[in-house]
Amino acid sequence: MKRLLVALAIIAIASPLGAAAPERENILQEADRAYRETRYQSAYDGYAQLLGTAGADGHLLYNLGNAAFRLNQIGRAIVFYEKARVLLPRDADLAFNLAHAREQIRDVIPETEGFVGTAFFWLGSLTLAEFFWCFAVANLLFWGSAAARLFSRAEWASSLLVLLLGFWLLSGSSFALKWHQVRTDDRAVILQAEVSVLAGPDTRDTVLFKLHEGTVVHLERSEEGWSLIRLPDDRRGWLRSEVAEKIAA
Amino acid sequence: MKRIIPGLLAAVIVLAVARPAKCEVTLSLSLDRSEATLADGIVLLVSVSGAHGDSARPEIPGLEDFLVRPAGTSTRVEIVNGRYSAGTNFSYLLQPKKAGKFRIGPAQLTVDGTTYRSDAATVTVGQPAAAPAGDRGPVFLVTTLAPGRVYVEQQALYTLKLYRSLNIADVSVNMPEVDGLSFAKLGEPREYQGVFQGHPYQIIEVRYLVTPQKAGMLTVTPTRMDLTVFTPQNRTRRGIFDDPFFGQAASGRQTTLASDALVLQVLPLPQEGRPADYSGLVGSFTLETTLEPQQLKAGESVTLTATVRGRGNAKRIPELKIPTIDGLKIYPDQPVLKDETDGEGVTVAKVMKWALVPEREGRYRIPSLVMSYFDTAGGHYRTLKTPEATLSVSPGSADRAVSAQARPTGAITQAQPKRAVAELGNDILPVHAVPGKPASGLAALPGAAVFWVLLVGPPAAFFLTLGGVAVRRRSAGVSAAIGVRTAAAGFTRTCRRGGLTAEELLQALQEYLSRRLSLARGSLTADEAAALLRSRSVDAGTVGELHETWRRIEDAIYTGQGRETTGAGEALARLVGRIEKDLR
Repeated sequence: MKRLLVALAIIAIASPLGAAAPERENILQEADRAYRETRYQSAYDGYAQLLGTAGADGHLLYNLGNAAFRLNQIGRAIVFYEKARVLLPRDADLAFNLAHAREQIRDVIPETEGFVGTAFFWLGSLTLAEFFWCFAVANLLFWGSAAARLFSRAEWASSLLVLLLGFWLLSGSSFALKWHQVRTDDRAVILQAEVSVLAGPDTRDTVLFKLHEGTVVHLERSEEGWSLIRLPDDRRGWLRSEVAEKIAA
Repeated sequence: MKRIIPGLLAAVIVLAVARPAKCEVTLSLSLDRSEATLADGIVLLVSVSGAHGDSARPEIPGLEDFLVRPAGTSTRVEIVNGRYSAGTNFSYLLQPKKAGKFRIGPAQLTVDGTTYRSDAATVTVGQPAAAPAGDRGPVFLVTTLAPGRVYVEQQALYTLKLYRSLNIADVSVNMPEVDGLSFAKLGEPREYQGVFQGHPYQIIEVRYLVTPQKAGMLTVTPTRMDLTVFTPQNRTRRGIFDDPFFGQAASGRQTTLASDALVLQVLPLPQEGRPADYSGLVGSFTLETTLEPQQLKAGESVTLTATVRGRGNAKRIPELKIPTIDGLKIYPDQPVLKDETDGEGVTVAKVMKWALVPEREGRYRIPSLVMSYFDTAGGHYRTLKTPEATLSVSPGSADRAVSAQARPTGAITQAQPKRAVAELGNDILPVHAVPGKPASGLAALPGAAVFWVLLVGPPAAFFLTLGGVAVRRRSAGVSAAIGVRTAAAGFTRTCRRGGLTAEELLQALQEYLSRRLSLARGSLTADEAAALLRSRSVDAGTVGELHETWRRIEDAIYTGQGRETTGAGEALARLVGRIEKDLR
């Protein structure tokens, strides 16, 4: 047994996973140090490198947002903050910084909540994974209770089943709506200081209105390097695809 | 339709056959009247033949003393003796600005380098006749000016009321243009109902603030209002649109209303008693100051606020100044001018602030602030003066730190006034410490296999269980049916085997009945068996025989012959045969 444990430990240290962890730690420490020493571009590059190798991490996205903000890239900062918000919906620092970044935006475009957002007001408080685990527990309890009900006709079993049915429906609908919200998130953020929104996908088309860095728009479709965007007040127009970055991956 | 088609065909043929007249350009100019008043609208018609479209719009000199409004353009085609000519009529509505005799025209039009002219027309404009007090008609204007006697730059209220008992549309107002008088609209128009000379009217009221810039008797010329008045009409023919659903038919008529001219007496500001620092402020004002806190430490900041509030020409409120005070740094803030409009005019408030920073401890005297204005109510100049204030400054933070250390523990300190937290700056919060490992476990969605197992597994397990229970119940039912079918055969076989003891026979009989009647296995009595069989419509004689036989077997058992062979088996087998027939 002892030999087996030693062998497993050697394999773990020698494996690429084991080697990657210290390297990740080094990049992270270097990026944090660069941020403290106001070398924001280095910090940004470090965090971005980690994000590319380790995958989505809410805190990493938050730090990237901070670095972008310090580099005066308000649009990119908002993109990273919004991405981080999907993973850290209850993080107070993130909420504060996102609100502060939004205050720097020049365009005033009110975002409406809609019926679903108002009725299911808790959708923004949990991540998709948290909603899933809630539903998974409710799923197990409800169907387990229903199965037990096949063998026991006790009154308390019926009451428990009704209670669990409510929990199951609530968690199920919340999970489904959150899933839909995350998977159909078409929001994008303007990255350039000022962008002309045109009537068609051609530079010769009429300029309908102008948007400024950090403004959140909805992407309807893209074709040949142009994107059709929509504002919450239903104004629509075309802009070059590279001037706006989508929030959802 | 049969009549229309030939008509249209005839028109097309005539137009095709008719030869165009030689392109001769002619102009004519006419007015609908030669005499009018200031309250009247005059229709000017210019007809152009031989040219049409916008290029045919002529120039018309002599309209400088009129407000000109285009009243429409129409194209006309004339066919005379097979020759047709086209032309355009231009209509204008003229509103005289002043009384007098005016020559309008000739209208001029240049076509292909040639200038064509019309004849001219003359109109004499006089003062409008005063309307009889008792009959002002269904739509009329009334204006008032209050007060009628003001000082230069004192504001007066000009009220315009439109009385109407008919529907109107396309309203446009031309305010008087009086030299030395400016008008500023006060709020939105108000609409309400009222009575004039005993008749109910819908009244639209608009208020204007009038500010005279020079002294003298100023005549406020009439305000003019262009509008379309809809007069109800009675139709003789009845059609589908005469239905009350479509409302009463009405025809619109363009008209111009004019109010009466008013006179405003403007007095000059008196020279007598005029203060040296007078800024030209006219009206009614107050001045007050606040200084908070009045006790502070050296190096801290205190705000002195001066507010001038009242009615009048706010732009003349002077910028108050604080003289230099030794040991006190003074930082003036940008003044803020706020105004609020009400039905009586505009209330203004000018707020001036200074940040005062004492450099050292001591008592500082903040001098009075002084401001003068002309009081229109009293007709004289007034000077406002705020009371002096004193600022007590204690030692700075370094000295205070020492005194704080010297304070005995538990000493009661004087309560400081509470203040809202002042926002001094705004910035983002620092970066987070990122965990060593990426998010996993419950923080992330599971893999596809686990995901679907957790999602579909519980209901699938439930339905499998449900299916199992159903199958089990079904198989139990089938077994019971098979048992019922084979019970009699088994009993008969047992009986015919022979050599059965009384106990064995009773046990076999009880088992047969339990299986046949789908009863729980137990010790069935003779009475219970008889009752059950009777309830299942088994012949009473058969039941009686069975009961009797059952009793005899029991008697044998209870009398110690239970282990002895009995011959009742054959009889019971026959009885069971009869029972089976009845049960089927």
